[in-house]
Amino acid sequence: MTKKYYADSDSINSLRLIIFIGFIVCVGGLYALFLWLHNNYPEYFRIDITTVPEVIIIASIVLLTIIYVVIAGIILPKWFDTARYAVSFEEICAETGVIIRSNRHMMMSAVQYITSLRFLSFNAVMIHASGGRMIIPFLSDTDTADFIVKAENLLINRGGL
Amino acid sequence: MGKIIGETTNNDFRLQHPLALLTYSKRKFWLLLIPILRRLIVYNFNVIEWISWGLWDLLLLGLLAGIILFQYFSFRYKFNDFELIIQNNFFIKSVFKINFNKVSLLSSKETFWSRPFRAVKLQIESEAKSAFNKRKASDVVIVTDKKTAERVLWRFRSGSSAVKRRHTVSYKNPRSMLVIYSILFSSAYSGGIYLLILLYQSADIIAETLGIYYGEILSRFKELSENIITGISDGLIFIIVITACGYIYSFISNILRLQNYRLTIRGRLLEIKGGYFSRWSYYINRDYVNYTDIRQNMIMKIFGLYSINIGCTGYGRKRGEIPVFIPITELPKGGAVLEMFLPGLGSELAKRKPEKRTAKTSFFKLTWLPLFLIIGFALGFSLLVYIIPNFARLYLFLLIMSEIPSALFMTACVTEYFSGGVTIDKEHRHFAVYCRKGLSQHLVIVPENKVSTIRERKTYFGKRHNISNITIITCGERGVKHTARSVKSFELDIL
Repeated sequence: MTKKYYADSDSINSLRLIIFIGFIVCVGGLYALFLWLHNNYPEYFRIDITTVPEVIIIASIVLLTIIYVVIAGIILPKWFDTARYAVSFEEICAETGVIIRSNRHMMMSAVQYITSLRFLSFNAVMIHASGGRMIIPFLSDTDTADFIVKAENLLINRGGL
Repeated sequence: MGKIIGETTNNDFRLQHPLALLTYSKRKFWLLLIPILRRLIVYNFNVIEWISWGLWDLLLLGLLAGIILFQYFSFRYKFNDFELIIQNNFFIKSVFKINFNKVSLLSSKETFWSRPFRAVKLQIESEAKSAFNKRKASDVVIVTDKKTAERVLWRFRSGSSAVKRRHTVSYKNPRSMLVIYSILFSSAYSGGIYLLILLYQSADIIAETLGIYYGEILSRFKELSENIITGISDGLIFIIVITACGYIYSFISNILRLQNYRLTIRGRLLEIKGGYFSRWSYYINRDYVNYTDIRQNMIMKIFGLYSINIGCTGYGRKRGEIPVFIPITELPKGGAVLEMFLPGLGSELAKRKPEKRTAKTSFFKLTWLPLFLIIGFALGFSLLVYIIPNFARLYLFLLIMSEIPSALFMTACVTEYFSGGVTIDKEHRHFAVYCRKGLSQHLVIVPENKVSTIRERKTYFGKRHNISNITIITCGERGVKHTARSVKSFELDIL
């Protein structure tokens, strides 16, 4: 029997907050650089036209803003809406991605062991197999526990290695 | 069964062959030793003056030598009918066992300089990561005498699962085919790197010698080359000489490596042997072969030749070592051995086409990169000539050197378009991936039970036409990926 799981939508707000903090730090750093240049090279920046460093800094800030809006406003919600995972007797599947859609099927026969990870409020399950590993990110607490129990029961029924 | 850990005594364990000391001595030891010894000659063997000159160097050398000896005497091993037991007392005492049933590959190598001492280097691999957590290291490396090595090999070969049937098949590549293989698979890169390292490391001696004769050698090459092509510059001559020497070194290495090549299949055991001055042997448990890779480059495709490799943990681990199964063959001839190795497939491989082929609309997707390179290099050349015309000849040389590999890349991508795809063979329970790796085409056959992960990737445009890249990741230490690009998607219902 196949059990399906979905990405936890509560994680999206925490992620947005972290990305926002990162965005503010980057923009703040660029602005600080802008001020430092003005203070240390006043003669260079006294001229009326916009200088090359100013153009680069302003362009970087604009680019960062666009990237932030696209990621936080479009890509993240779409990713969380479309991510899905499944566990069955034969395989563990993960279907994720927005622009490039990736569908991974890991054979249960290749699975060696499973690790659960927790960082702040984010949960993830790492599946170690002969030949690689797969990470199932952004599961809720209950889903993580359920996923691990289900996968481990299937491993035990498989008879180990 | 062997004794339980804790009940062993040092009397049961053996030391390695004394030549193992050389495996423990790293390059830095020799780079320190050789100049120190040279100084002794410069000082006319005046030991006191020599010591006072290099006291700290000598102390450091003594320390390194002490560590090497300590490592040698710390490592001991023994074996019984079922397992090999290693004891290592280097600071931390560790004892570990490897069951012969879990050994995927056992290799023995006699180099030309170890053969007079009857020393053999055994390397043992299993599916697990290296015991010392080094990705490129074998699980166990033992230098032992020939008699002991044969006993270990006999234990492995007569192990419970390795040989179940007495039926044996042997295969030997004709010498002419080995020459063709060496021509096709030798690279100037590896040989050229070796030559440059040699020149760099022995800079004083060789530079001094070459410096005396450099002018004469160069003018002689110029005379010879002007009979073929006029107007060759000194720099180009240098590059041609290094490249040619590099290629010749690689060619000779490959020829010598595959001399006396022989493949024997005894039940579950594969024995692959070869070598002329340095003799090597690989004993592979078939149960640990993860995939079979049949490859062709452009020239081989024209002449209907194939090279067959296998994927097994530890085989082909070292740089420059190709994990050959059959070095080179015309498939109908090599098909008998392949038929035994891949029942139901060997004789039919040349005729098989992929079940899900590359999508017809994906020609540009597969060839955009080489097209971009070809046009990009030409445009770059035109731009450079326009901006700084003084170096037009150099730009032209660089353009030609860039366009040749780009054109080869384009040819490989076009071939991938016509021959790429995936097959799920339910009858023989395997996956077959027709893909391109570098400039050669590969047919990779992965048994169902050796598949670790199947990955399907679709771009936004691929979703509209139902086209995706299918990657099959095989079991094993490294998890090798085989990707068929732009294939019509299919439901991944597992066998």
